[in-house]
Amino acid sequence: MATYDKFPGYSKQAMWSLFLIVAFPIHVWAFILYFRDITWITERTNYWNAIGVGAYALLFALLESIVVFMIVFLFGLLFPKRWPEEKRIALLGIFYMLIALMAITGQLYFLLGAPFQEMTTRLLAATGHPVRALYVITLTPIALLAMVSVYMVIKSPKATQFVKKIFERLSLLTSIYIVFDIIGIFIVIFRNIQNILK
Amino acid sequence: MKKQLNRREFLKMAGLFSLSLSIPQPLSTSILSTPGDTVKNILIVVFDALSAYNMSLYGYPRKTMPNLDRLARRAVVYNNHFAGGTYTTPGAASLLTGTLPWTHRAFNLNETTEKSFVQKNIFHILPNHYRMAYTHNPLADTFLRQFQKDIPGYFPLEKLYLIGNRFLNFFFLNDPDTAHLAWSRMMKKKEEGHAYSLFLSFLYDKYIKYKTERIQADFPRGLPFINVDNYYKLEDAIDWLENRITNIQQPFLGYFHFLPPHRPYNTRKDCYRKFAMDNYRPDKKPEHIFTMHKSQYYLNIQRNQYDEYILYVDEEFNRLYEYMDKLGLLENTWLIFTSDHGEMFERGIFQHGTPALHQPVVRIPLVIFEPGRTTREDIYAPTSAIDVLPTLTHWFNQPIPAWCEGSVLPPYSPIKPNPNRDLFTVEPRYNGKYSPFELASVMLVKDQYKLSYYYGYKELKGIGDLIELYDIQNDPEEMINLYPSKKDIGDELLNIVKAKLVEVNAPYA
Repeated sequence: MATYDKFPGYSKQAMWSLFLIVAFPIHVWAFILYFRDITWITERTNYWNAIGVGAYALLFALLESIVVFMIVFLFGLLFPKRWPEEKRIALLGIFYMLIALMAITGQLYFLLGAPFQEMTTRLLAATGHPVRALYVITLTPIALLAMVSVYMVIKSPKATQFVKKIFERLSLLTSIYIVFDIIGIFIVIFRNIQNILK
Repeated sequence: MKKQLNRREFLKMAGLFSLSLSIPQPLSTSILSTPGDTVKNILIVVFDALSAYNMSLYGYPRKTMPNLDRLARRAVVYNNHFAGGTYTTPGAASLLTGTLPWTHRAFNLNETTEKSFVQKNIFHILPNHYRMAYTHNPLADTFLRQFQKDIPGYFPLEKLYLIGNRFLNFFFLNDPDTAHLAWSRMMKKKEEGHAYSLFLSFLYDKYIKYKTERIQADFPRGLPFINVDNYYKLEDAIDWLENRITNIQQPFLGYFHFLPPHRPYNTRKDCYRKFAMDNYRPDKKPEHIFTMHKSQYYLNIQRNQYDEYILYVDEEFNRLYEYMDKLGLLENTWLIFTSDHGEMFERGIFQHGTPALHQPVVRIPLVIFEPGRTTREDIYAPTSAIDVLPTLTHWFNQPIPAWCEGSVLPPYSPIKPNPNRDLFTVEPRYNGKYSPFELASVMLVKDQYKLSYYYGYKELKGIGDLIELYDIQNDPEEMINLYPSKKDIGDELLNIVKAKLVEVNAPYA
């Protein structure tokens, strides 16, 4: 008899792990920025509205996690099925984390207000193609990092286990974020109902 | 007995019927409406954050409103008109309810009025008019939604947004301010370069750029917007309004509250940099205790941009006026031009919503284009936003509601305006909605004097209450605080303010 508890090549357990990995950087980033904002949001109105903004932020972070998870999952379907499931999840996780790292770095640059040093700007300009040069400078280490990690996961079962362990720990943390998400959803519902009853 | 139509009469009538179909809609509605006081239309056009201080109509050195200066030759111009509060929530609520913030209780950000005002507002008092309303401003929209039962022609915010956030407005309609704020923190990258969202903000940025790039060329500083991504164009709003007022039943009461010149001051290209090189330098004024520590250089740049944005408002209001004039609508429409609060570019303070109650933030325009008027009349007696509602009732021969705190505006009032009237503006933003005012700014204008009383603020810790007294007739720039030298006058006014506070706080004590 056919069973339907498996999507093509992935068990539910694996998919849940992948979802938690995806949700981790999205939530961490949202939390960091929210806590930076909380003071001025409170001053703008009050604590309850500041909590409200946090609740909406968590709700949106959850939605973003679902959307990104679906994309990552579709990408995962491209991996050969003969590879063990945990290896494929580890590879997907590494790829995703690197992309997340790039996204965080991109935003962190503005967040920390780090303008280019004059010398860097001059060097970039001297190349004649500053944008291309900038891409090469930023993408080269990331590509190298990706290649080394992927090579290690493919070749070494120990590396796979190591990555798996890290992801398990992160997943545990993300599970707590998901609980916060659910609380956030309740707060959002409550706020909207409360305002109807006002 | 009913007369039967013969063939000839039938053909005549059929011909007339077909001819009637060819008459344009605006003409047909005008013909159907019998002129007379009881059927005149009312059109209230509010431009958000428009300070009388920055309008050439009121003597500002820059020609910010050349069209209005000309149009006002056929209007009543109020030279000392004051808002109910210093930002949209208290300001618009005072205009709509004819009461001050201590009565309507809408002073916390995006708060509704006290429940009973659902039946105490401009829409409720004129049930025989077809009532319609729209605003770009979510804070003002909160009131329109609250009074929606009396506004059959209510249009939601996104009606005139170029890229309205329908998703938010649909799902979180009852918590719009917080939902929009969270969305903006989640998705907005354009100015700060970072947002809560790691990935979708990037895509969203690209999407917005794609959607707006064709219109961007007309707005060198970017498209006007509110709440991150709700872009709008005033010309779209005016086109739409023209269409509305010609295609709806008369008499109508319309309340249209448009955002320009509210920040960001993204003016249209024909107004861009018009004042950048004119060498106008406003008087340097001392920093206020509620200073935001903005440098005068920064404030002057912002003021230039604001003034250029007012030019855009002037162009578009002129277009509306000309349109109405051409159609003859001005012959049977009271057209009211006003604002909900002003804007500040001095004393280290920028924009509005400040506890400070200096003239630029509290003195707003009021120009009434009366049907059939051909001359200008200037009113110098102090008037308030809360006077608009009783004036409407007066025009339509209705009694002034007992709950209304305003008076009929001169020259319409059958009695002479009281020069000793106590005229208040109140800014109690951080008080509990139903708590006595423990932290507030209260302004009293009486005769030529203006007293501002600030108390309860953390900035005043160790100083005590702050009292300022200005002679706004002889010192309109409010350069000299007369309170130390004219303590007797100041204390007299202060006693009036304190007595009023005791009175209005009593129900909440």
